Amino acid sequence: MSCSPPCSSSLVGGMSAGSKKFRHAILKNLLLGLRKGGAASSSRGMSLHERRDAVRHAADAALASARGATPRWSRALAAELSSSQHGRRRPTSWADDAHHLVDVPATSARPSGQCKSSPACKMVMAGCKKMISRRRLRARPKSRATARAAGAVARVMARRRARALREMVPGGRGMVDECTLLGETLDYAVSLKAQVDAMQLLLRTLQAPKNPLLKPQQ
Amino acid sequence: MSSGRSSSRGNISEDEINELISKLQALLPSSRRRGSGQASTTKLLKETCSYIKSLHREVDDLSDRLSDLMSTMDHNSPGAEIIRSILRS
Repeated sequence: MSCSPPCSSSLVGGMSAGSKKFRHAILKNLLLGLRKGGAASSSRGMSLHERRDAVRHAADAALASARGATPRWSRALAAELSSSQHGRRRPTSWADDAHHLVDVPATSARPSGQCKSSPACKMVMAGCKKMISRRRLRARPKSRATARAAGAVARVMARRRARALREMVPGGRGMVDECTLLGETLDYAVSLKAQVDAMQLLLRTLQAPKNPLLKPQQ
Repeated sequence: MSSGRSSSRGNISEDEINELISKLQALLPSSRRRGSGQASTTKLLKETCSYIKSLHREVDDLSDRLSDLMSTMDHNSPGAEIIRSILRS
């Protein structure tokens, strides 16, 4: 692969969770990630366990970067992935691309010196800072509609269920607002399904025996 | 108990919540089968948890199978050719 600057356009991202385009984006990102992660080579460099982890990692990164920075779970997932990057052998710049796309600097443990240079990253950081400082505000007086809605959600979501959901959805623990949690859960579930579909497609493709249809018919 | 922060786009209405809930219901495979009108919301959330868990398990399983497959793949197999052509596009 040609060397790419940060926020490279080779990674596909930022579309709606349910679309076919989204599935294909995951697939493409997955292939890119696998190749750069070294999992795609048949060299003996990796143990089975390492390879499995690399595949899982590539799949999650593909999902997060395909979904983009809009949903919170996506940013949280990308942050988790880039902070777990450090213990192991580093793949290459695609991880930095995903990191630049969706990084949440306040929650990520890694030094973000490199990050500050890229303009898109600056945007993300500015947005995140705004979000974080908003959270620090004291509880504003709620409008009646919000109070009613909040009451409705509270009735609706039993404590235990909300807690369970928070653990399943990346970044869920940061979602105090149960309305947000519900929306994020929905988006996450749809996106997960797309991830599964993309991986199944890849698996089927790789398992295909020598297929006469593959012969060039031009 | 609730936070002071409403949705960043403004107040979420009760309608939007109901919409989210019905979308969740439409998403879950089991509730589609039952074709139920108004399932209990707690049950719905419980099923959502199970659904997400099962999707996680599937991703794990698929990762296993993919990594097995990739470790045995040689560069001349049709699978490798497909990958190369997708990456080229």
